[in-house]
Amino acid sequence: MRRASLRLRLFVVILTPLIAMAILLGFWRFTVAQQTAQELFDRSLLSTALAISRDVAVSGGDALSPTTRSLIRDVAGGEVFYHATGPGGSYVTGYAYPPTSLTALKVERNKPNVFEAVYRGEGVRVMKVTEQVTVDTLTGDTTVTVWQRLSDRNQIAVELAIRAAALIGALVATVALVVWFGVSIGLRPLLNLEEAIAVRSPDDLSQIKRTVPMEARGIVRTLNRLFSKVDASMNAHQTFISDAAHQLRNPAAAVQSMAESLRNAPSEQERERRTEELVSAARASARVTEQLLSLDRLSHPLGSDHFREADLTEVMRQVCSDVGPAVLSADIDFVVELPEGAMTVSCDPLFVSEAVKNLVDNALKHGGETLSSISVAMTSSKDSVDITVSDDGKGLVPEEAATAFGRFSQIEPSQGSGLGLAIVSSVAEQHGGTVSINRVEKGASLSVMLPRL
Amino acid sequence: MRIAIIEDNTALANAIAYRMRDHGHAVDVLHDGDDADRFLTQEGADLVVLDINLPGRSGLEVLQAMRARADGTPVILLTARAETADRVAGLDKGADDYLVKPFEMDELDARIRALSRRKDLDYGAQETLGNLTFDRSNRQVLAAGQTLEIPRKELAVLECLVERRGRIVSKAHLIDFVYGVGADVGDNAIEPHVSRLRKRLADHGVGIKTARGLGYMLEVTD
Repeated sequence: MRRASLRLRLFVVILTPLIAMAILLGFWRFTVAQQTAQELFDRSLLSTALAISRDVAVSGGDALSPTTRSLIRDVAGGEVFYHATGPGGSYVTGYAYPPTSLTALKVERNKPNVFEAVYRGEGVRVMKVTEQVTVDTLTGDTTVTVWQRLSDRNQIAVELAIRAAALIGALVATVALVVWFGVSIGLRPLLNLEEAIAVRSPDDLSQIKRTVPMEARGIVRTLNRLFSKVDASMNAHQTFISDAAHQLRNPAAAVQSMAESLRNAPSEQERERRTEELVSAARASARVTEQLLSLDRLSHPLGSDHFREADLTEVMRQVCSDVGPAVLSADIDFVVELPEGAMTVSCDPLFVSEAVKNLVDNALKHGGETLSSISVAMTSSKDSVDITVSDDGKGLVPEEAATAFGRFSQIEPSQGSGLGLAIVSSVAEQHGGTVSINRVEKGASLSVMLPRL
Repeated sequence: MRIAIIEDNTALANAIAYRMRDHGHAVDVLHDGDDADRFLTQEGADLVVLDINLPGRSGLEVLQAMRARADGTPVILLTARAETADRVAGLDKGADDYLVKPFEMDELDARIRALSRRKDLDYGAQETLGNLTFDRSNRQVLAAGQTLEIPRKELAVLECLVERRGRIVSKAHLIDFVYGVGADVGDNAIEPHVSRLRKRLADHGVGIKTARGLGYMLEVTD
């Protein structure tokens, strides 16, 4: 039913009770028709009986007046049979053998007695009227019996019922037609809406502005909301892709030109120097790619089901060992202070590592001439873990946070991609934590706070 | 030793191959999973560097086939970042180590060295460090053909640092290596040996750097 068409749905919903009601009504009409026919017939039987009785009294029982005869002929519901006995029970006129009641009938005088009986193999309705009449000085009971075929009466009832049924049927058919074709007319605004959406190009995410019936407004509102969300997300992606392409082009160009200059190196010494530069350009290119991938994956909410219980001390030791060689090779001191034991935190270890790697990278890249030492420290309280990366380089003040943590933004031109701290910020956000620039006297100090949940 | 490099990125495969040949190893380079499977079945290798994402069958399938025919050749898997879930699968399927792209050549070198040591493979007897030559088989250090006198403990420290050249070696690891696993030695016991060794090597273009709180790193300074 849920999948059936709206038309079928409405059809069933409307017509089922209607047809049930029509059947009930038809049945009721038939019953009423039967009753009406019976009352009608009984009344005409009575008037016939009374007329015959009168005639018998008047004519002494010999003949029926012409009026009575025409009454008998014209009475509703077909032929009327009659039988009359005069005082003393002597047969006066009419058919010789009247039908008798199967049950013993208590004949009440001056009151019509009605019963059903079988006459010549047919069901009949019988009326018996007994009156005291005086005919030729002879006073006695006159009994007039009149009867009619039941089948005649039923036919009338059936005719009445059929007429009513036809009326009800016509009504139901009209409703059915109206529903069947009316649904199409009623749904036309929705179909129009569908058509309008169908002909849109995939790039067109503008709002639906056409007027729609009240019932469809909810759908249109929801659609419009979805459109604007998709639009915003597409725009964000487009911006990201163009920024990313720009970021990738720079190091790729550097690698290419460095490789070409290597070919023309005038001396062995120069060749070696350029080779070193080529390697570091290639390394920077790989790093940007990696950062872009991280940022892209971080742009989708991780959800805590992505997290697992990890020993952050071990994670930190691992990532420090990974980034350490680059720091030491640059002749910069690297100091790591980690807690003694394990520290279990629910997190995504890969992303936390990525954040720390970026913080250290950042210190290395932006430290400037004065940079001589980078330190990583992790401290914990009851409900949070703080990872702080400090250096004695050029320095960073809290007021620069917006620029520092923005995507593709840099405080001043440098080798970096402008992605590092954006990644750190995203990682902190995904873990429900924060990242901040600490106010220090010398150099820069950044802290990531992760809640311990 | 014979190293099979199975990697469809030709530039990367060649770069690894150059490096390994420079170290005196015989190298076979394969770019396709099906070829690799055929090669490993027929020829075999002493060590395999295997990329996960390959044309033909995947690196994981190649690895699975190897282990299924009871081929225990040590395997280092190379994975792209996006395949982090595959790394676990790779180790489950019998890889000995894995490395995430992009990686430093030194890192791959160190992993191969560590793995070949673990598997008792012949990595090559001699290692050049600045002006020095470290002779693994005779456990001695040569400077311009002359043996350098180095005390036993310091030599052990040097051996450990050479195996993991370009990487930070933790104090705990050094202590395990020098004194044996589970030795009852304080954390500071190793420090004097390291600083004496540092002085000894300084004139030969080899430095030992300290990452305070983490460990030491051997670096050729020139």
